[in-house]
Amino acid sequence: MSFLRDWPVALRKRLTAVMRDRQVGLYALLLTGSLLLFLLSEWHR
Amino acid sequence: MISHLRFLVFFIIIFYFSYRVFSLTKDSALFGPLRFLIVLFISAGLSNLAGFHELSLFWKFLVFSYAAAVAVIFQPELRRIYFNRTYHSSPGVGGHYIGNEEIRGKFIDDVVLACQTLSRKKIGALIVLERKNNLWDFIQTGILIDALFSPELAYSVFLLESPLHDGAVIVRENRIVAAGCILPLAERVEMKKLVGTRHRAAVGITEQADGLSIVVSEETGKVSLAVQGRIAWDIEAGALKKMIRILYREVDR
Repeated sequence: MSFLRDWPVALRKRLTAVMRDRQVGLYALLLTGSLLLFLLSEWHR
Repeated sequence: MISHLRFLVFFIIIFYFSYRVFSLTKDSALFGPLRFLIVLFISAGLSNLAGFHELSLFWKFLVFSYAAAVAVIFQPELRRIYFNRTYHSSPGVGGHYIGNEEIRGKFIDDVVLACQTLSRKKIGALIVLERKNNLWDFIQTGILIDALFSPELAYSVFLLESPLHDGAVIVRENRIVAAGCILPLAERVEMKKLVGTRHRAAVGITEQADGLSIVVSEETGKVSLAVQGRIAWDIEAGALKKMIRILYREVDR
């Protein structure tokens, strides 16, 4: 069960990669936020 | 608690997909239009929150038609990204290679010699060595030759008087499969600014397939080598030989 043992390392690596590419991370965050805002505003009408 | 957890999972999934989309399109012209989606979603969300429910249909129509228009207008970019994903994610070499070390060495020497001759005489040339990805789509655009590669043959193909000089020579194993082939041009903006069509074609083919392309500049006689959408400028004969030796070989699969 290497996945269960190694997932914190894998997650940290992935997060480091996301942090390194800040511009992409920032736009992805903005798109996620705006999409969620749109979807939630639709559902809670 | 459960609804918070659900929201978090939902957030992570959407963030993951947004991140993948932006990182794939980072170097392409699609990056800008995709960012505009953020503005559209925020406007739609805010107008919903402000109670302008009548506008909802308009926003939905706008988002979908915008997405469709982007897909149509940027179809070449999307195609390039798709090919990059499918081809470049498997960097292994080995569909076409020359198993015999001696023949491979002789072939590489011949390629380098051809480039040196063309470079000395300042004759523009573009030679593509096929690797794992089949280049049949591009071979079809030229004239089929199917002859053993030799510096003399390469030289005579690229001579200005030759009807085949204005295009690429595609090589499979140690045979020239076709000459006068038309290749896709590189899409990257910096390539458009910097160089002529021959260099852009050399990079363009390596953006779509894993082959190597060797270009001899008509103006300066300098030899460059492109692979996987990148180009190494002005390479000396020794370095060129070394690079082809490394890149054009069988690897353990």
